[in-house]
Amino acid sequence: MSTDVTIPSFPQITGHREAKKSRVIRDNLWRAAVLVALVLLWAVLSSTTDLVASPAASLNALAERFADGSIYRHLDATLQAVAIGFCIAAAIGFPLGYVIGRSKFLGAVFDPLVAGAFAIPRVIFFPILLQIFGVGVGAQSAMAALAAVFPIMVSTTAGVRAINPLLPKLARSLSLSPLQTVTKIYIPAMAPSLMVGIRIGFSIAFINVIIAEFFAARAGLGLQALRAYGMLDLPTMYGIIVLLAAIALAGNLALWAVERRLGEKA
Amino acid sequence: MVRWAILAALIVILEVTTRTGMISPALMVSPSEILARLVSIVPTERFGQDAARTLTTILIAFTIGLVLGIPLGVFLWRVPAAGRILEPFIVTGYAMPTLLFYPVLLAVMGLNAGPIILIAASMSLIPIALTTMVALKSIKPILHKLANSVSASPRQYYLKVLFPAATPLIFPGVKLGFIYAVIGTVAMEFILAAQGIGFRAGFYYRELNTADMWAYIAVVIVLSVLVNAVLTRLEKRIRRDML
Repeated sequence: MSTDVTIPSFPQITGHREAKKSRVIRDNLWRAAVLVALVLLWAVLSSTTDLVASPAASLNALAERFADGSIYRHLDATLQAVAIGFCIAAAIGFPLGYVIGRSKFLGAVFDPLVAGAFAIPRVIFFPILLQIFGVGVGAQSAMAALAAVFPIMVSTTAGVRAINPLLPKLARSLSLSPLQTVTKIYIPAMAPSLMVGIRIGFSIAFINVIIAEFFAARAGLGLQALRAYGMLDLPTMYGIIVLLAAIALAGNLALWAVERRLGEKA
Repeated sequence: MVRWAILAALIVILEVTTRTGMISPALMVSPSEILARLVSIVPTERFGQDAARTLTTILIAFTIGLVLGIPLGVFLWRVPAAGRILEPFIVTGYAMPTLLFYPVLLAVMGLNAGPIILIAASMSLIPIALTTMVALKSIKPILHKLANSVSASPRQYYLKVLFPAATPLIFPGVKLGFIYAVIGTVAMEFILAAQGIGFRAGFYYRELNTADMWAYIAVVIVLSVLVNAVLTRLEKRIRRDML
């Protein structure tokens, strides 16, 4: 996995590494097989009932949407809302989570509040966001930000608390400036839990944009999927859902891979 | 103490800003009015039906999640290769619930509680399965040896050794599973349903009835905070002998 510091004079280590590499490849093959099996299952299901469009028909419908260019506006709206919402959530969630994690007092005050807010289905506030921002990308982004901010905060707080107490002492003994302490000591030490926050935050932002689009939107893939359901255009609906699932899976896997690497280094 | 003061201050601020018109009445009504609406809504028969529908959906979904999630977690622990291979999918499912497939389930099952139960169940299943796997992995090796040395039967091994040892570690996952079941149910009802508390909040939004919408939002907030509080208390009790 990691390519840094190899010591060629120790055959044992390289052997171990090669064994590991072949295992990784084998695992990935199995994972691909799982995906293929899922598609096969879908194909079998589609041949038994009219309610499930076949994979080929769905992908065709999706390809058509791409060919005539009608999908780009919706793809754009969805991705934009996810990106804006996630950035807002990160800009608020990381500093707040950090402050809450550092202070015992703030932790005691806010932990239960954050946990309580975490338990509320935040989509329920979407109507209010609609009234503030109007129907459009603004409301979708605000929804994503509102939903993603809590997981980001929670994992940042957990990360700060898990820091080895020796590290702040080390920073003091080196008389680092506060900025240096944060960038050189805290952020590297917290990197794995920050990545967890980023990954979960991304997923939650994504899913909430879709839910919000299911409810009310001007443009967006969620809106298109539900509209296709309303018009009983099942191939298009399945095609869009596959596209959404693929975006989610790819984004998640990329972030998860980064997270694993950071975790291994630590 | 400070916590309650913050909450009280928030409510007072909302009360003042809504009363003086700084927040327009189309956006939010004052907390006192929400309370008044609640008092008149809660005794009605329709609220009873909505609440019953939502609560049964949550409970069924959570039960399915629990009944399938724990064996799945045990399986992922017993067969580490399966756990390793499936991990990326499960991790994706953790924060990327199956609710993308809601339109599909609507098309296949129709507009009833079925799709909502399925989605909420799949959302609650994943944290339960993952924590079960992690909990079983982190059981002290000496317990396995102990079970071996007293030649415990597989049944005894699971019920008397693994289950008690893993429970305190599994419980946070079960708690998260329940919270996810609540979130999934209310969110799905909110998007598209025929009945339920979440549905009613979305319904009043479309009717531009802000006061009633807020009353139902308040119900959802109280419900989820209550659930969280009860589960947290339970968690403290279960983990007491550990901490």
